[in-house]
Amino acid sequence: MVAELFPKLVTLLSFTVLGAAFLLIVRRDLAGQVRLFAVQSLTLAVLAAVIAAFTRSIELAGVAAALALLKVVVIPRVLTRAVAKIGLQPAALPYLGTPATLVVCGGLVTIAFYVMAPVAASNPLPTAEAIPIAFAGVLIGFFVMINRRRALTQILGFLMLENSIFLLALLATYGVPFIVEMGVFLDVLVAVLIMEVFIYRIKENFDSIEVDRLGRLKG
Amino acid sequence: MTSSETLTLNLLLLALGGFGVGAAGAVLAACRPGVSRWAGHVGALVGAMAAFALGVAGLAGGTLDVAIPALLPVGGFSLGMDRLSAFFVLVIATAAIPSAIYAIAYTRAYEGRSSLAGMGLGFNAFLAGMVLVALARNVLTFLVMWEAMSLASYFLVMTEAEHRETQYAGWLYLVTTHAGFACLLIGFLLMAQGTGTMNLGEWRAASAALSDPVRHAVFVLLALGFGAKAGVVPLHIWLPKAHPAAPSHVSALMSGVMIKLGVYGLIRIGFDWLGVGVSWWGGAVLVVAAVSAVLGVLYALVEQDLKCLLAYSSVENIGIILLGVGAGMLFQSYHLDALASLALVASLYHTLNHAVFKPLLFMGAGAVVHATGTRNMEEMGGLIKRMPQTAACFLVGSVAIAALPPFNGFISEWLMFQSLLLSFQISATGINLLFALSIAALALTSGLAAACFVKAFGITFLALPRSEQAERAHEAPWAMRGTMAMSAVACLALGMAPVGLLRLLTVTAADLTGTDADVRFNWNGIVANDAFAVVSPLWIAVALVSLLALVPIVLRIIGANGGRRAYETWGCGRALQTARFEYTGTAFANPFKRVFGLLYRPVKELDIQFHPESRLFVETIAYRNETRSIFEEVLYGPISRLVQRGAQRARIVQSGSVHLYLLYIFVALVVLLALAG
Repeated sequence: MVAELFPKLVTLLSFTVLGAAFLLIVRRDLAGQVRLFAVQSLTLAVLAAVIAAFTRSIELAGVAAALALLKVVVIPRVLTRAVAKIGLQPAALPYLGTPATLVVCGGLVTIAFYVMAPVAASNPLPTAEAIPIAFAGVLIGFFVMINRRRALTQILGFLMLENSIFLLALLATYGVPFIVEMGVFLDVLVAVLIMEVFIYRIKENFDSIEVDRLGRLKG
Repeated sequence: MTSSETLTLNLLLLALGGFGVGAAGAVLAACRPGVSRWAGHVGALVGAMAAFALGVAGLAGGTLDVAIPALLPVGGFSLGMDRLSAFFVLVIATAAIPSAIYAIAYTRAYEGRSSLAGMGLGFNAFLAGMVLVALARNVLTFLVMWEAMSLASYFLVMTEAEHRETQYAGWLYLVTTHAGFACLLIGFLLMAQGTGTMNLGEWRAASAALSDPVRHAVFVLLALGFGAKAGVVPLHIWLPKAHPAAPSHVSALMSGVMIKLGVYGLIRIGFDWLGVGVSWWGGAVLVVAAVSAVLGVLYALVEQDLKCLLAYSSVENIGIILLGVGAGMLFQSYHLDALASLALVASLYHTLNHAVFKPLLFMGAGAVVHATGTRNMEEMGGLIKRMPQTAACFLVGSVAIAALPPFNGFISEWLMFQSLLLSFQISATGINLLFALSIAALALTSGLAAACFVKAFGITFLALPRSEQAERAHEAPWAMRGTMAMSAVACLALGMAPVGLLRLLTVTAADLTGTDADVRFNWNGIVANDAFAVVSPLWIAVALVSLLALVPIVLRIIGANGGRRAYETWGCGRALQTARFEYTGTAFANPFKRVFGLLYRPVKELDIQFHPESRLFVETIAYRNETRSIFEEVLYGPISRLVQRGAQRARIVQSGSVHLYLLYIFVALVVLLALAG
C-alpha cells in the first residue's frame, strides 16, 4: 500500500513544485513572487521529508529541516526586506508577454520530457518517474532569469533553478550526501545575501534595478 | 644520487632561493624604497651567481633531474640539464650579475616615482623564469615558465607607465609575445600528440614517428613562436619599442638574454627535438637571419634614440647568431656534421659575446640617460670630458660589437665567416648561392655595424655638448661604473683567451650533432678545417699594442717636436665655435639614407619662414628628415586593420546585456541536450 502510494505522492509534490515555477511567470508583484518561492520551497521540504520517512534516512530528514529553515524562512525574509527597501515601482514588462512565455515554457517541458525520458526509464528508483518534471523546473527557472528585466526576479529565477536541481538530485538518487547539500545551501544563502546588497547598491546609484540599463555601462 | 647531482641540485636551490628571497625582500620592504631596492637586487645577484656556478657545473658535465609531479598537471613540474641548457643558464647569469649590481645604483632614481617593490619582484621573477625556461624538461613546465618570463618583463617594461610611448610599447610587446605564445602552444601540443609524450627529453627519439606534414607544421609554428621572441625580421617590431622603454638594467637583460631564449628554442627545434631537418628549414632560417642582420643594422644606423639604436643592433646580432644556426641546420641535412658543429660553436660564442657587450652598452646608455635626462643623441655630445670612465667602457663595448680585435666580437664573427665559407663542401648550386649571399650579408653587416657604432660613440661622447643637460652631465655612481668596467674586462678576456670557452662549446655542439667541430685551437691560435683559416687573437693583440707603442717611438726617432702646446681645437677658420656647427647624428646617417632610400623611404620636410620685409632674411627653418618603417606600414598595417574590422563585427555578439548572455548559455544547453538525447 505504502509502496504503491509513495511514487504517486512524489509525482504530485513534484508537479506542485513545477506549478509554482509556472505561477512565477504569471505573477507581477515582487512580494507575491517571494511568497511563491517560499511555497515552492515548503513543498520541496515536505517532499524531502516524505522520502526521508520512506527510506528511513535521518540524514535526509536533517536536510529537509535545514531546507525548510533556510528557504522557507530565512531567504524569503531577506528578499522581503530587499523588496521593502526598493519600494513600490512600476513593474517593468518582461521581454515576452505572459501568453508567449507560457507557450515557450510548455515547449521547455516537452523538451525536458523528451531528453529525460530515457534517463528516467533507466533509473530503478520508484521516484524516477518524476525526473523529467524536475528537469523542466530547471529549464523554466533558467528561462525566468532570461526573460525578466528586474534583478530581484532574476534572483528568484536562480533560486527556483536551484530548487529544481535539488529536486532532481532527490528523485534520481535520494539526495546527495549531507555535507554536499549543506555546502550548497550555504552557497545559495551567501549568493542571495550578496545579490541583495548589490541590488540595493544598484538601486541607490542608478535609481532603478532594471538589468538592461546596465548595458549602458559598457565602453 | 651522485655527488655531482647533489652539487647541481644545491646550486639550483641556491639560485631559486636567491631570486625568491630577493622578490620577497623587495615586497616586504615596500614602504622603505631604499631597503627594497637593495634587498631585491642583492637577492637577484646571489641567485645569478649561483646560476653562473650551475651553468659552469653543467658545461663541465654535471646533470640535473628534478621532478615534482604534484606541482603542475599533465606530467608535473620537471627540470633537467644538458650542456645546451647549462650554456644558456650561463649566458643568463653572465648578463644578470652586472645588471643586478648596476640596478642597485641605477634604480635610486626611481625612488618616489615608481614602485621599487614591483621592480624588485619583477626583476627576480624575470630571472627565475628565464633560468627555468632553459632547464624545463616538460611541455607544461616550459610554457608556464615562458609565460612567467614574458609577463615579468612586460611589467618591467611598464615601469614608467605614465608615458604614452611606454604604454604603446608595452601593449605592442604583450600582443606580439602572446601571438608567439599561441604558435608555441599549438606547436607543442601537435608535437606532444604526434610523439605521444610531454617529456621534451624524449622528443628527439620519438620525432621519427611523426608524419611529414605534422613535422613541417610543428617546425613552422615553433619557429614563428621562438622567432617572435628572438625578434627576427619581420617579427621584430616590438623589440625597438619595448627594450628602450624599460629601465636600462632591464633593457640590458631583455636585449642581452631574453631574446637569446628564442635562439635557444630555435637550436632545440633545429638540432634536438625534431631530429635532422629537411634542407629548406635551414635555408629558411639562413635567409631570415641574413635579412635580420642587414635590416637590423640599417635601422640602427638612422636611429637618433641611443637605446633604440642599441635595440635595433640586437636585431642585427640575433641575425648573426641565427646565421650560424641556419648554416648548421643546412650542414646537418647534407651530413656535414663537423661543419654543423663549427657553425653552432660560432653561434653559441656570439650568443655569449652579445650577452656581455650588449648589457655593457645598455648600462653605458643608462648612465648617459641618467646624467643628461634624454635618450636623444642630438642633445648629447661632449660627454667624454664629463664622464670619461663611462665613455671608455662604452667605447670598449662599441669596438667589441663592431667585431674588431682584440675584443670578443671579432672571434665569434671570424668563426662565423669560416663556417659560412666552408659551405663550398656542399655540392648543390642553389645552396651554395644562398651561402654566398649570406656571406655577403654578414660582410655588409659588419661594415655597417662599425659605422653605426662610430656614430653612437661619436655623436654621444665627442665634440661639444649639444644641450644644456649635456653640459651639466656628471659621472655615474661608482657601482654603475664598476659593473661596466667588469663587463669591459670580460669583453677583452673573451677576445684574447677564447680557448677555455671554445673547448666547452665544442663539447656542447658535439652533444647536439654527434661530431666534434671542425676546428683546432690552443693558447696561441684557432685553426678552422685543417688550416683552411688560422687566427691568433693573442698575437693580433700583441701586434696592435706594439703598433700603437711604435708611433711615439718613431716620432721620437725622426726627431718630431716633443714640446706640448695647449691650444683650441682647429675650427676651420671660423671665429665663432658653437655646438650648432657640429656634425649631427642625422647628418652622419644621411648618406646611408640616400643609398638605401628604397628601404627607409625618408620623409623630407623643409619649412622656411622668411622675414616679411625681405626674402633675404630668414626667421625660422624647420627641417624634418624621418624614416618610415616599411614593416609597420606594409605588413602590420593591413593585419591590424583586418583584426579591427573583425573585432567590430564580433562586437555585435557582445551586447553587454546579462539577459542575452544567459540566453546564449540557455540555447547552448538546450541544443546540446537535444543533440545528446
